[in-house]
Amino acid sequence: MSTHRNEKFANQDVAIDGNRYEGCVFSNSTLVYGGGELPAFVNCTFRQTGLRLTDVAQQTTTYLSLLNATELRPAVGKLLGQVERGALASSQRPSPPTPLAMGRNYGQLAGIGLSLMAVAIVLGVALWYGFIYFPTNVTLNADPAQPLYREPLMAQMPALPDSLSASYDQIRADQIERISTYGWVDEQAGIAKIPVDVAAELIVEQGLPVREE
Amino acid sequence: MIPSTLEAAPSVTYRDERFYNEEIVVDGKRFQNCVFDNVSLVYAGGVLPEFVDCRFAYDVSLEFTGGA
Repeated sequence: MSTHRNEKFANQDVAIDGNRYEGCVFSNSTLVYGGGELPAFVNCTFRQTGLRLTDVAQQTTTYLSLLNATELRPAVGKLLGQVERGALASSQRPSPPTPLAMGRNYGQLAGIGLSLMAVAIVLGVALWYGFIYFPTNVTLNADPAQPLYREPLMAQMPALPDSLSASYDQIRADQIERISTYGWVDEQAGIAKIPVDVAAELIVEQGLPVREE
Repeated sequence: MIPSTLEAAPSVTYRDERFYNEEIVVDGKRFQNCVFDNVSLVYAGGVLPEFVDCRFAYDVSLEFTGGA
């Protein structure tokens, strides 16, 4: 059994029986297992790495294939399911990896932290643009402008007198004089006006005028 | 590469037998027209066994020892 630390294995077959690998990188390689003592992998990275079984290990897979062709197919499936779930017997499990807090993962942690900060910044900018900048600077200033926001044109506003109260009092006085005095409306046509109170009394006494046929 | 010893043919043959409630080491054995009931088939990674016209009950389990 040998221990490999922080080594790189590239473009090669690596016989792994009984070996321990710590912080190693495997790329474009094939892990070859012959069924011997279980290897251990701690903090290793695998890139495009395959697995090949030889000797007794290959013999075991052949045995399982043989059984899979019999009525024992469910038992083989159950066993492979246990392998897939990692439910191996404790004696068959490789030693657990050592804790990560070894003082050499700070770079990775910093990278993850910076990535999270970058994501937060991007999200903040997106929210500011979507909820603040876009509604106030793009939507409201769009052409044509929104009717509720557009300033009314002063040229289209009616001219208002300088003194609203004085103008109202004058109008009111003119109206009261018009309905409370005698006078001609159209002298040539013979149309005259009388006070409203007098007209009301005449209507009570004489009734409403009736058009002559 | 499988060692030549693993490629050898089974050397022991069982015919028309019924195995019940026991562990059976199957390496290098040939079973013909046998019935396995409530047994555990133990394989150690040796010469592949052969099963011909055998019947297996539901409670047959698989165990591995040695290199397997």
